[in-house]
Amino acid sequence: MSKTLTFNDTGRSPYIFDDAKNVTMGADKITVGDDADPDFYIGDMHSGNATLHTGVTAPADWQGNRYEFDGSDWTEVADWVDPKVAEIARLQAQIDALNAA
Amino acid sequence: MSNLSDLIPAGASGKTIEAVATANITSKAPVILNSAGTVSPISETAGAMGTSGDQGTGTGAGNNSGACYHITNDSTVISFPNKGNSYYATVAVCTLSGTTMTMNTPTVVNSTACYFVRCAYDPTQNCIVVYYKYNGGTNLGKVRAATVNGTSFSFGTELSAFGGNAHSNSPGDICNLNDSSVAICWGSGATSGSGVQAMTISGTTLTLGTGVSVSSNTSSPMRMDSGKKGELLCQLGYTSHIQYVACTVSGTTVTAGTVTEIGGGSSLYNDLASGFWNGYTSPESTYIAAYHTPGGAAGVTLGRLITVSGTTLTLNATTSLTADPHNNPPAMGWGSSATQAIFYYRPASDVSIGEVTELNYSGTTISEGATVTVGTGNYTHWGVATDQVAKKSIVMYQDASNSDAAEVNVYSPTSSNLTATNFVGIADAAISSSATGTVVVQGGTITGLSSLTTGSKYYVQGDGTITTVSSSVNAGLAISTTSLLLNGDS
Repeated sequence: MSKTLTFNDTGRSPYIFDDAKNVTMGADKITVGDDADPDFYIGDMHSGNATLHTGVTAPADWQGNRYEFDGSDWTEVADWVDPKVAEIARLQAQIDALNAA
Repeated sequence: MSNLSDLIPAGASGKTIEAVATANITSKAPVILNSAGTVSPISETAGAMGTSGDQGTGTGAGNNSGACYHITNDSTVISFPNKGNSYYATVAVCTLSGTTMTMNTPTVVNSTACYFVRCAYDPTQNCIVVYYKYNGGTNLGKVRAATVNGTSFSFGTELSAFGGNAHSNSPGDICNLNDSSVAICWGSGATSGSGVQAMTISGTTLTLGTGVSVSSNTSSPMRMDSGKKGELLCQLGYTSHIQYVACTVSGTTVTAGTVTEIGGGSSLYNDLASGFWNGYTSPESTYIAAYHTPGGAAGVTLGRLITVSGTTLTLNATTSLTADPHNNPPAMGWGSSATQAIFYYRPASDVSIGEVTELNYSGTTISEGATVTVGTGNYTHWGVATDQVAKKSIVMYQDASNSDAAEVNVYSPTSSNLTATNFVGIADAAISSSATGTVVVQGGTITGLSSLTTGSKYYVQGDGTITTVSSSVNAGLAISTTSLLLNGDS
């Protein structure tokens, strides 16, 4: 089982953690990992705009911000674009321009 | 007598001092004067990378990154899309101890995959401003200011850049501009061509001006720097051109000069830098640029000093560089003097490593100094800042040899005990350490040299040699192939 953080306004799920991972909801930021030696801080989420859901099972193809979670159901975001696909498209456009030059 | 040197008796001719040497000095070697009245040989310490730091592979460098030096905290902030965390826009405070870098716990600025994350430090408001661009989706560019307390960030409100227009995936840039203001640029998107936008800062509150198109052409990447308060120089490389545009900014109103296009053809791997906001405020309006020769073979790169007056720029003579960036955008920061830039790149001659090259200028001419290997697999997603206390270059990059971890390191530029003012003369004969010997000084003539070019001016170099290569220390005039009249800076 896992835990996920979601934005309250959209339900967007940018993070999935193992249930054993310590996640501390602060008033101005969220701390991921041991408080004494955190893995990282999340500066755009906090206890006032985000919710921590525990005991969840994420879709197998979960990626950051690909899904919304309302506490029980996962819904794929309609306009989500895989960053890798976007980067490949950019590089291809550059290759095409170089070939045409 | 037909030659001036014939007038000079053999050996040192007058104009000498007797001084105690602090170390062995070889015969005919230039020496410096110490505050105690002793003299020392000129010695040089080679440029070198330090010991890197990271936060493990969970903190990875992906896509275009940035760095800025926080003057008050004497630390460097790095900014990058964290490949180990869904490419979310991330910042971290890095500290230098000696020549060892430490990266502290990273903080996510925005939990959205980003294409580039750049940052700048404003000394007046004592805050950083982060500029980042979503990778896909809405493709928005965002800016957000933050104060830095130790290794922690406190963020202000995030705003959309360029009026909420979508950004294409062309790397943009951010730089200092004036007291309490910074500027951003990006090379393409929904507005016309390449744009610049200025913003003012109060605390962590940003007030954005209107984005201005500085060229009808797109660019990727677009880079810029500021060599004077209220002044910008933009560099626009692309698959079909390279252009430069100088801008002035009053408040948040940007006035762009005429586009100067150097040549058609692909020129993608470029950068430029000024020392002005890195602690070297004189001379103003002076930039070192390095760019891929438009349409040239891979890695063929030119260095060029560019000076700016208002919105008019002057392109000085080019220097062909052995530095040969290829495949990935290089990055340039400032070095340890008013006339030195530090250039990081992935060389075409060996794409498995990263290199750093010192670029110096004298007058309006660029010359290359030392080139040092950054490391195997250390060659992309550079972010560069200048530690203004240590006078060292701080660099972040992706470590491909360590699962693409974000890594930060320090480059100590080549240094010498020779300064513009401490050259006193040339030892007439060898002097042993702690012994007293004779030094020919200003107005004297040192004889017994070899292979001089009569009539040429000679300069003291940082490594203790005397050559015709211009430096900041003038030794004197060769009056024969073996005699040098010390009419310079001794």
